[in-house]
Amino acid sequence: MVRTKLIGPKCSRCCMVTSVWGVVMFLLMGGAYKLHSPALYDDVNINATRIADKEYVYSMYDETGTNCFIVAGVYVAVFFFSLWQFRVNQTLQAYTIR
Amino acid sequence: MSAEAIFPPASSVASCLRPKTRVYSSLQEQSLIGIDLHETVKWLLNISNFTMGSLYRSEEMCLAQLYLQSEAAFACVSELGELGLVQFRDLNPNVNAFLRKFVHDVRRCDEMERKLRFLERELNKDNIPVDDDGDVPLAPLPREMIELEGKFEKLESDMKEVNGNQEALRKNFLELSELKQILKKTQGFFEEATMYQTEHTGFAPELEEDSSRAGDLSRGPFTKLGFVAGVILREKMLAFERVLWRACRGNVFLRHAEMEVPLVDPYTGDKVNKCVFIIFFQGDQLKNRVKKICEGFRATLYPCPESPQERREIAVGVTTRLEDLQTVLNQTEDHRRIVLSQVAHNIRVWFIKVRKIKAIYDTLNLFNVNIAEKCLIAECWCPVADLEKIQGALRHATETSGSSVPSILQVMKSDESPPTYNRTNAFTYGFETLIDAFGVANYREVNPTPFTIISFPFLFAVMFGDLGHGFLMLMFSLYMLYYQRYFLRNKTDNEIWEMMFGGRYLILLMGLFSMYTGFLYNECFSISVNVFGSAWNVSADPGWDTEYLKSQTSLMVDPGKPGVFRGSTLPYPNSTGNPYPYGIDPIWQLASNKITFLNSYKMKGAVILGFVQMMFGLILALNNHLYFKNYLSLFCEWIPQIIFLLCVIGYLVILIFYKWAVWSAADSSQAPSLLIGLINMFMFTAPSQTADTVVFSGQAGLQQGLQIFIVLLAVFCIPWMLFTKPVIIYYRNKQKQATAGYGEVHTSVNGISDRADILAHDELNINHESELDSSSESEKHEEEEFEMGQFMIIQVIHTIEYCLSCISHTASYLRLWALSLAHSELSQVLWTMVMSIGLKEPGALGVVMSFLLFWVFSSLTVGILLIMEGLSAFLHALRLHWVEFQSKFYKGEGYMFSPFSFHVIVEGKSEE
Repeated sequence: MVRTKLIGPKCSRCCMVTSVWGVVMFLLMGGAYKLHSPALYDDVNINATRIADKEYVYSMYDETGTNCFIVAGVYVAVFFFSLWQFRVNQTLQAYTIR
Repeated sequence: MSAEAIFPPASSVASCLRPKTRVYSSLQEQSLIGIDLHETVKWLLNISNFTMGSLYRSEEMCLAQLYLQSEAAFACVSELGELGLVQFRDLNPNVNAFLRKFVHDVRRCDEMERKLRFLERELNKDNIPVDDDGDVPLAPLPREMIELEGKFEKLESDMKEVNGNQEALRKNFLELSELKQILKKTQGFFEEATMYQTEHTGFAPELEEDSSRAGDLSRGPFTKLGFVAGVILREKMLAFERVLWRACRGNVFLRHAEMEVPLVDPYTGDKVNKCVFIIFFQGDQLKNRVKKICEGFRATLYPCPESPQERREIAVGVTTRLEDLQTVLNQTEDHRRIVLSQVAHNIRVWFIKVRKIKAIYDTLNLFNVNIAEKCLIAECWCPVADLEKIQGALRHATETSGSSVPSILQVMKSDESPPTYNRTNAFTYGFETLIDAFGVANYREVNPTPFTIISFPFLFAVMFGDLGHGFLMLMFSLYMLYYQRYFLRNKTDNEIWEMMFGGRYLILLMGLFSMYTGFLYNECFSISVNVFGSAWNVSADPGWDTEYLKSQTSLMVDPGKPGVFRGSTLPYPNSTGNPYPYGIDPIWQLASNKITFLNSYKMKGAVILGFVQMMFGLILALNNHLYFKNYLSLFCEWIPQIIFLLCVIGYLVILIFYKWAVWSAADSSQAPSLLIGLINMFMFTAPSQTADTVVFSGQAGLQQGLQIFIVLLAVFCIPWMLFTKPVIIYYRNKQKQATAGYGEVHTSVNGISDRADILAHDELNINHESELDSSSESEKHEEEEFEMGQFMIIQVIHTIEYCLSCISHTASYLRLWALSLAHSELSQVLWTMVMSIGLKEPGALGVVMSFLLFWVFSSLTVGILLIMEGLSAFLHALRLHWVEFQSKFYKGEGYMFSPFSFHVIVEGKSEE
């Protein structure tokens, strides 16, 4: 394991928790968008003149859903980054005992 | 990495074998999961065992007298301290602390503690970690105490000696280092001075050879310069120079140079920067002046030889001595460390032992000493259920101390109010603390704690309801519970964390209940979840085709039109007319009048919950009256209270349920207004169709009659509450007085001796107190009157308080609505203003913005919604319990049972 410390122990722990939360939440949101949930209607980019076009609305839903899945993927990467930093901090701490 | 990390000192290699990092402890706690689940299950099994030891009322306590043999006393108190079940009373309250029997022993313990604290300070100075193996030793016997005393004495003197030696050595070391520096630097100065001399005198450069010219004043203006060399703190250099210049009128010549290496001050151990200086002057007067100034500035002067050879010799000598000193210093350090590491091994155990001994002697000081019988008498409060255990402990202690006479425990009767003792475990402890913070329950009064375990998290959840936030709270509490053992062992200094950790079971329940109410309110981070299929079918409205919808900005969905409110699609497709089975219909999230609808629902819910909790409080009051056999209060206070509450608010609650049950979605536009109806009821206005106040449709007359009856009944309760109790007590007192007065008259008339025999008792009383009686009779009457007046006032206050509280406390429960509204609005704002912006962006920009905005969203959710709103809801739920619920039945004027327990003493002190 490469031992470069970029963020401290508290920051890495916080990032780990937030990224887990982000992964779960964005996966669920992506699923909700793919199911065309009306509750998320206000959070989809829909051109006001074309609201009658069902296919258009559904396609915008799907697009936002895909975005959510991509963000979830990015958060998986953040999780592994912060996990690595957490391990680095642990080993560094283990060296400086008296 | 620092040098220490790579080459740790030899003596701390041992401590390396036991690292204090998280790596080790997380391995350790892995093996300790699940033990607290076990405890909780055990508690749940025990809860069905409602014997005298239950949480419903405080434990039965008894006052016991202990007769302890002098020899066995110490051992007995030690055993009782380990047990932690008795609370001793002070039998010598008037005795000065210095006159008690065991004050000498307490003083010895104090001395021992002082020595231990000194050793602890030495340990901390060297940063040697204290060994903590979790072992809690028993209190040693008095003969062991002498051994310990001797040990501590020896250790203390050892340490003091070592410290003293170290100080002296360091001082020496410092002086030698300074001398060395001086010798180095002054080399340069002398050369300069010689050059200065030769420039001005023009004579041969070797100044030292011209000693014959020393006193020759006629040879020129310059005679031989005297000098002093020394060392001064760098900070003082400037001021030193200036003072010298002024005092000697510029006739001295000062050269100084800074020392590169800072030296260690022997007293404080700090590193200080110093300068070497040398002052050249002429004549004795200047010499004295210079010396005085140096003294004033605490500069140390050193004898510095003039000739370079001498200087070199001395320099060599100093270097050698410095090396020797360094070796000696190192050895002293090592010796000190060895002594301290031995101390570190045992110091925790010693501390505990000494504290236990001191506690025992402090307790022994409370006892009554009977020197003739060679026994000590103690009085203590103890739970009746634990008498067996206590007697067992006493027997065991008497055996171990080798005394032949057994210790006796005798239960006494007492009129004093015993302390309140509630047996709690880790789970119930948090809730018990909440209740005790307001007031400790009276002896054997109903304890609100077991009900609070459920009602408090529920009321919190009503104000906090959100699936997502509840889930986060649940996760947090599970984290705390998972690592419980670790956190219990390593207490931090952070009070806020300790408070949150102490309430981990509370947070667990609050999280669970919040998830439930979040599901009811259908909010997960302010987004509704459609589980069962909405009951509304918007497209069923016949006039709404695409053209019509395009022309309108907002429309009202009318449930009266057929097919619009078709009922939930699960499990019956298409029109059962039943609303969404559980919770708020998800369609409301898209409605602009969502808040208006939810307001009505939440306000009614809040009133119902308030009424239920207050009724429950009154029922607990009934339990208390029956238990304490307080039938007077039962008939004169409790019954009118209940009737009043039922009339004023109970009727309203019944109407709420009636309205919910009878009116359906189709005819909801004709539903009556309950609030106006309630106001009209108290103003005796008849219910009418136009004012929307007819509840029982078509039965306006009946409704009016019913309402008039209810109001009159409520009004009748007020004088019932106000007058019956004082009147009955007044007549009771009068009866007592009448019988007493009759007795007096009887004896004064019949002075016949045989009669006097029978009434001797009364006569004696009369004879002794005749004068007093006749004068005090009127006083007694006055007293009775006075008490009557006060009693009446108290009754008035209570009545007014209760009647007003029926309205005000019910209104106070509306905070359940207010806070839940605030929470859902905040949550919605956070979503709309933060997350929504990111999600609405199309394409790659949307991905980036969503990613970044989620960090903001999560931190604001935790900071504002979880912490701030959580604390707020916690506080208000607590207030509802303390004021609105407990004022119905709780007196809370008792005092806590604080047993003599080593666990408490040792734990408590270790937190300091």
